[in-house]
Amino acid sequence: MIIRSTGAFKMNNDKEEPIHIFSSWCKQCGICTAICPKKVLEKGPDGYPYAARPDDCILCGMCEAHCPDYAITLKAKREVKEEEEHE
Amino acid sequence: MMRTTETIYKYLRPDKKFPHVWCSGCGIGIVMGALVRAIEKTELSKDEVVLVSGIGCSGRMSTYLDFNTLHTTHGRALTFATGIKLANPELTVITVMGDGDATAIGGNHLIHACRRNIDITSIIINNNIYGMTGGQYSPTTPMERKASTAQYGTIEKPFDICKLVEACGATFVARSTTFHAKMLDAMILRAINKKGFSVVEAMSQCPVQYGRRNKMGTPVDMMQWFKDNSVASPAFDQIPPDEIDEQFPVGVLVNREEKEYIDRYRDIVKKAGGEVP
Repeated sequence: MIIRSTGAFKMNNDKEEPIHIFSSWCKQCGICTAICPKKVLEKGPDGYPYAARPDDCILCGMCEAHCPDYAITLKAKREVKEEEEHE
Repeated sequence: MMRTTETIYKYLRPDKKFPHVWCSGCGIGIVMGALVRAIEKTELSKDEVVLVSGIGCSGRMSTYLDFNTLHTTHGRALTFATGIKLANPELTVITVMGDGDATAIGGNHLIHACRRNIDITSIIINNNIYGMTGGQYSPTTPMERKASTAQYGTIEKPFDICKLVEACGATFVARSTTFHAKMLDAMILRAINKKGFSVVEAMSQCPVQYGRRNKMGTPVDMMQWFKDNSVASPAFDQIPPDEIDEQFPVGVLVNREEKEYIDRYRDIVKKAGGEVP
């Protein structure tokens, strides 16, 4: 599935997961699960990574910076944190 | 906090097919992400940047990124870039080349671009092999490593790209790896801001053609190899030469000030009595 829109890419983040994995772009290379310093990500039964321990995430951004396919984002998690700080 | 993936999406061409063509675990995607983050930090608009690429796996980068881009013939990225820079010195010109593209087919152009010291940023993605054409050994394949044209291991001594360009006169030389992705951002940013010819060697993994033939394991194992064998450049100088096995220095290796080619060109135009724009 390729998501296209006029001008910019839209992220398919309807599920509001704290750490979103854009599985249609993911090639299951396993770099994100290995590089995460807090072992938040794990390889699921379908081969795609998923956030097994999202509460441990420290927002270091290592998974985002090392994903060769730009298939992972911490957007929702960041927004939650920003809201908490705002309150 | 910088939003990494969203920043990258801003610079991708929406009419191209994604996921990209690079193999699962290929490091070129990581280098492309680092390049985008570096350009984002310079605050240049998309129209002020020209990205020139040659042929090879890395050549696809100009297809995906939404700058002024040019996909040129094999090894000739620097020649096209030199022309662009001379025609319009206001543009920020970046070339992306692979190791074979830069040091074999375009080797002559690389050394002369270094010698001229023209204000171009050159990113050389070094995966130690010709990936796209079927895994032939390249000028940077380490000795005794296997390739499709070296079934029992290559017997040629490899190029050290950073030492090569340093000797040829590049004013900024840095090396980073795909494991050190955030350091790669910083190196590319410094290279773009440097006035003069700057080279960033991005060590990258090719798990399909190079890693599999040399039993280097998964992309993760290859990145671990980068982590284990890279040494920060000041610490690398302290290692006795007989203890250096496969280690290589990372970080800024050369940073010197020399007069840039466009400035010298303007001087000569003045000297000849011409008008400088």
